[in-house]
Amino acid sequence: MKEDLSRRDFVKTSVAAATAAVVGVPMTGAADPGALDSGIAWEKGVCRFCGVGCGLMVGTRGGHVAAVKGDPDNPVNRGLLCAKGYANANILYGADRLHKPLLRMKDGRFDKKGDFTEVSWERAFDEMERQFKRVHSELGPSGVGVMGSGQYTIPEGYAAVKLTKAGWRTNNIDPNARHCMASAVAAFIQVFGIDEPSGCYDDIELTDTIVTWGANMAEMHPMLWARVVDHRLRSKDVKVVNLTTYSNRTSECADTELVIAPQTDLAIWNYIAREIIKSDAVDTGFVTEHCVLAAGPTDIGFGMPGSDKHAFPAELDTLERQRVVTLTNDEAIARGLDPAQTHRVEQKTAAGAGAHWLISFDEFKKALEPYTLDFVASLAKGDADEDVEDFKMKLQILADYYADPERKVVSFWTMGFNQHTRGTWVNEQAYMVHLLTGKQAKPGSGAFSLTGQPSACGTAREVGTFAHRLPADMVVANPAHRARSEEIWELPEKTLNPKVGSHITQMMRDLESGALRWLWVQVTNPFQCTANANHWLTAAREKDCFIVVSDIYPSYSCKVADLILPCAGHFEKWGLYGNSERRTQSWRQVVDPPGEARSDLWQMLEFSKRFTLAEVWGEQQVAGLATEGFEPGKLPDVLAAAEKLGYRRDQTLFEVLFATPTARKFAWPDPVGEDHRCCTVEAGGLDWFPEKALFEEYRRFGLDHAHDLAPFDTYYRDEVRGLRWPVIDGKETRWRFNGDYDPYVKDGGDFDFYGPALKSLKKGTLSGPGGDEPVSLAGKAKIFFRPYAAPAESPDGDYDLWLCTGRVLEHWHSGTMTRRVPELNAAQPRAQIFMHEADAAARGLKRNDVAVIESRRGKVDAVVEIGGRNPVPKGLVFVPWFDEGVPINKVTLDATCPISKQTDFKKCAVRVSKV
Amino acid sequence: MKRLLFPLVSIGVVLSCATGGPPTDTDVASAPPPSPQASVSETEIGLAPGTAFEQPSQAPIAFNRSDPGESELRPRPNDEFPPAIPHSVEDLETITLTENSCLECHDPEAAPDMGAPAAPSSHQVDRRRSPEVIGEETVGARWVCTSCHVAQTDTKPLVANPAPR
Repeated sequence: MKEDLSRRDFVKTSVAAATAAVVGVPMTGAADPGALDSGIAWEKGVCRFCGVGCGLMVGTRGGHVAAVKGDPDNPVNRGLLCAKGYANANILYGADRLHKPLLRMKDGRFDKKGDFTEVSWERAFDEMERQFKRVHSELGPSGVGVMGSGQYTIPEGYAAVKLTKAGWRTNNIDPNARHCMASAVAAFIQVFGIDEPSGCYDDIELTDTIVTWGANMAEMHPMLWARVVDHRLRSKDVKVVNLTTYSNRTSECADTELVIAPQTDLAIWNYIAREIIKSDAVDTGFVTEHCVLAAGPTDIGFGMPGSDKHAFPAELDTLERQRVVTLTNDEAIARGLDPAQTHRVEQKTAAGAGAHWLISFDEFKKALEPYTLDFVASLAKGDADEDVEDFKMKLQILADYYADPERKVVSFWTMGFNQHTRGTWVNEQAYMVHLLTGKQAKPGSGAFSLTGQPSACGTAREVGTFAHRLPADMVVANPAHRARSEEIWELPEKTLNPKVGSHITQMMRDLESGALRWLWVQVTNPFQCTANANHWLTAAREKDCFIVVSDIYPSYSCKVADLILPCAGHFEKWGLYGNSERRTQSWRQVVDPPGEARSDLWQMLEFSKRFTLAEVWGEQQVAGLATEGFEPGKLPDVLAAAEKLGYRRDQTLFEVLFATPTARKFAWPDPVGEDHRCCTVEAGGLDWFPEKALFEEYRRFGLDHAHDLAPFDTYYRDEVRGLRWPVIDGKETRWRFNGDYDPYVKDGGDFDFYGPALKSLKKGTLSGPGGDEPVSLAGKAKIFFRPYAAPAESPDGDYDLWLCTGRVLEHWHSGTMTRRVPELNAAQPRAQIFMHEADAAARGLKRNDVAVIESRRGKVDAVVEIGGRNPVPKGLVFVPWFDEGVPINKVTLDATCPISKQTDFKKCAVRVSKV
Repeated sequence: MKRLLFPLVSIGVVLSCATGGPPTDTDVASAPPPSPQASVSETEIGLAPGTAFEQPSQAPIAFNRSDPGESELRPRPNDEFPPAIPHSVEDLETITLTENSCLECHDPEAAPDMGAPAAPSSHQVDRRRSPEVIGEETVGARWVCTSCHVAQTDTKPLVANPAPR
């Protein structure tokens, strides 16, 4: 029967292909291609893919999304899209869209070894509930978790936070965005006391210099790169510098390319800072008035497990570095130690890696002293074939650009910085240089972290779908923040769990150890995108756990799921995203989801009906909870307090968290809906508008808290193309902390780094804090000194090559959507291993041969590419991770930045051989 | 046990539909009536065959070897989709700040002589600064042609995508 069906589909599509007219290049003279649009209704939307946040016009006809085009009125992209962006319509129509819930069953019952069997939503939720309550009764709130993403819409992410943290009282919710920009967040909080960039994309057209650090913008942020190239082509005085561990497309339109050795970005920043001080280029007024100097511990490990219990034998030597590190020669020199001596350093501060304290300017200068041009050039040169003198010259050019007081500079970075076992440090070093030179928070100047996902900022960060966060930069560990959240959410005191939950990689480790046994995966593909995947795949299938995956297609993660839930795609539901420049943008539902696919939001609302307060708000065991005001290891029973607030024990989380009297005042139909439908409303049989109700409730967290968003309806107005928060009196903010632009800067001030977090520090020296009372740093930014540190794992005799992983222009992340678009699939059909010709030849490999890539953790096969778009230097290979047929994360190392907990997907050691 | 009736496309089925065409509404996003007992194994879903523990076999990629001018433009999924590059670009120089090997043939001035499709005049409109004016040259924002126009290998779709037009 299945064969028959396939044959029928085959015939159908073949006929369709045969009858398709060949469409040539449009020869129109119009800037508006509307002439081709017969019968298509267009309205504004947002791209589903990267953090640039391009504006789209979504074209519908006959109940389908027929096409998308760039929105000419959107200042982000002014009518242009990249190859992926144009596929926003097509990604909805792969033939294997999920239409029905699928549960592993045998003989009519759930069975972990069973086949995926179509079931009703009712049956699906019954099993989810049964498994949840079984685990919850045994392990308490710590035994359940949610993996979300920076692709959640804002209302979805907010609902997920509220359901997990307020409803289930677990902080085990973490997004794939942890893998994407957690290091950027940690640095924003440590340096500025508040998350997200001070500048905006307008900086591109206003600057003189653009430096990309570990950011292949040409492929990962193509339409932002189009603005960079456009600006550069207008003026030869504008300079573009690309720092990278391998040549790439961004190098092609750069004035200067520096191919650097992995991890040496840490040393290069310190060289630049040293040059700035030496050449008297410090903006003394800015630094004195607005900055302080800081340092932190260096014996912080690599975010690897502290125990060998679940390690493969081959992993033990790398894992040992979590406990003790023998400094390399370069590390010894970089720390002013005698390289002839052996320096064994116990990694004692892994748990307190984020601690820091104030240091003097003299201490700061002393720390930079080892980072001379000669030392840094010999350490950092990444291409063995490049002359070191040439490399030195480029380093000097780079330092000069930063030091030149007449030159504005923007530094962009993405995964090369953030996916780094010292990711927080290297982010902080960027601010170090920009703050030293006063080139921060000014039009045309600033260090600017680019995000990878469409709502990594808007949802993951601003809503706070992290294990440690609450909305609007608040954190679960802060009693005042919990109290504020409990007030807005109308929860009894001490409902919220003060113990930080498991980050996304830790959740995988918890699955393996049995500490987490119920997992709901939403809008992400974690079994393809988490490093060291063999452990997690095995845990998913072999352990006593229940894994739910919500997706629009059967992803790689679905293969190891127990229950698969079919989701609505982006234009099949209402949503808002927030991009890298703090711009919140919206779209309406323009078509219906297929079959029984439902919005993620409906899934959460519906599942919340399965829990009464009595089941989740009684006393709960939370191993390791040790917070003042709480009994050790316990969350208190808050049911009596709940009754005082007017709740009943038999009320459901749906009633208490979502269908509140306030929420239900947002009636549906709503004028903002115009003639659009809302699948969440329809599937839920609601007379209110959950997306709007949740957004309006969420807004309350940010108002007067430097995160002000406009009302829901404002974003849907025809003339609005997103607004950059804080939005005050209807006006967006382009440069934060700058008195000319940011209403939050105190009256009359030129700059005010007003972020409130971590603004009270002790004074100390490079080796540690002193015993004095902490001093207040209100309004100041911190200039950190951070030393060079060797990576968690480096090539050696057994595993002799660096492996760097990353993305490609044509595919979005794990390829679940874009690989189902024939044009994008044909452009990049499979992940290749990019090798240097000499490295390939030494292994008997040539282009298109099949190679096996093997690390201490696993191996995969891939075909060889030599040169192409990524000409790698000798000693390094690059493999993209979009291809589930080349699951490269079986090979990568799950070491993380100990501060941000973000995995370093860019560095591990592998060997490569011919199959 | 019955197999799944809705279109979970098995990996072994190679579809010849290169770029989709104009299907009727019923082709898209509408499944046959579901059977309550339909089931499918984890080895039959997704884009790689087998379980997540198996290593899918790898074969050489079928690169497009045709020279510029040798190939027809392929059909596009819709009128907004940038035409894919039908010829090999492997031997062409990369696009730099000073060189653009695409425009050597596709610049409107060069195209007639080269027998190549010309970049449409929309490519000479600076939408950021002067959206009403058709200029003389390809604008900087469109300089990196390969951001939007992608080369194609000879690769069959992994699953059909009967995108509506």
